[in-house]
Amino acid sequence: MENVEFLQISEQYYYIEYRIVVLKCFEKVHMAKIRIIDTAQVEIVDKSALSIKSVVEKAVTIKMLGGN
Amino acid sequence: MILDFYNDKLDGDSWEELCQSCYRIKYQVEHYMEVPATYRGDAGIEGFTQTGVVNQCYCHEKNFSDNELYENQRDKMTKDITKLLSPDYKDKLYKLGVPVIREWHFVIPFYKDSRIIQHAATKTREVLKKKQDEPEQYDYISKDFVIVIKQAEDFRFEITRLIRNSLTDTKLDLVIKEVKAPDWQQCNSEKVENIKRKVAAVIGDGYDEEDFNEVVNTYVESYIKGLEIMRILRISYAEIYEDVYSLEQAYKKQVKTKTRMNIDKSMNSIIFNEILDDFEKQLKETCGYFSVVSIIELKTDIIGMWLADCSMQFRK
Repeated sequence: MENVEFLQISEQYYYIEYRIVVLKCFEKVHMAKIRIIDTAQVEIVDKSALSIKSVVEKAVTIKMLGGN
Repeated sequence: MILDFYNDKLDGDSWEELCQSCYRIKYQVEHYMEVPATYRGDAGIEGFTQTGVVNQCYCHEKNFSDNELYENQRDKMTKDITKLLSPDYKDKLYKLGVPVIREWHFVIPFYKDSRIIQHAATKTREVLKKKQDEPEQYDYISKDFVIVIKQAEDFRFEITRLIRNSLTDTKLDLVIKEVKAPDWQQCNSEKVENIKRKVAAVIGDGYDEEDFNEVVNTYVESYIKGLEIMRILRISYAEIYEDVYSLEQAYKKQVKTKTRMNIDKSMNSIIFNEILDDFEKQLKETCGYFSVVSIIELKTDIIGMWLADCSMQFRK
């Protein structure tokens, strides 16, 4: 995963495999406010989750495996 | 919750690889044998046991609606059962040494529509009728034949073991069950106040109220989600829970000491970021079987828990 060293507001990066645009940076808490491109979904995430290239991993979710 | 839109990331090959490993573990005593599809094409089954269980794995690769998923799985089952009943199938099974088939397992990640169970029952009856009408042709099928639908949940123990022991390159993702809106009752006002106080101490002056509230809300949500994830892990994934809990408890002590020892409030943000970086590294080392995004989410959730329960003691 190729992390972004200096996030730029309004620039596009990836959150996992989703293309996002950075709306705001909260440097002191290592977070950024992002919007998923082509959606209205806005989230605040840790900056470490943002990368220059998309990240595609084979994964099973605990939602799929069940459990209470 | 950022992970709510995150779907299962499995393709047909990964699913088949995972299923083969699960069957090898679960049916070891019954001498499960994999049937590779490379020689003379697909034998119509992925493997068989010496007790008459055969399996066919299938993973849909699109984000279907519930109805589309049902239709897709139904059509796949129909196609494979047609193959099972085709005249040249008997010879293929005989050459492979497959015993009389009692159970035909349709192994899928999950299903959402009960009509697939009805379809399995219909197809079971069809197979039994064929056997009754032409007993000689279908002597490779047991009179007790049944189609069984198996889903990932049926192999939770095996899949967790494979992933935790890095016996597969498939990772575990901590998407939690349909937590669309946080249950704020789980975070009492004292916890919220703790988070507010700690976040204020870290960010210092210069943030506007809207930014401050957004960051606080993010950590409150993370705290609630962290509690839920830890609860699920504790009940259903004991070994993984132990990995995460042991690390969390050990690191929490360091966090407490590190933040308490700091008397220079201008260093709060630097120390906070150091903790974030280092804890992420520790999580990757201890729980390398989680997906990258799960590591980062879990880190934020646990930080939220430390902010709420006062393990982080930043001075203001």
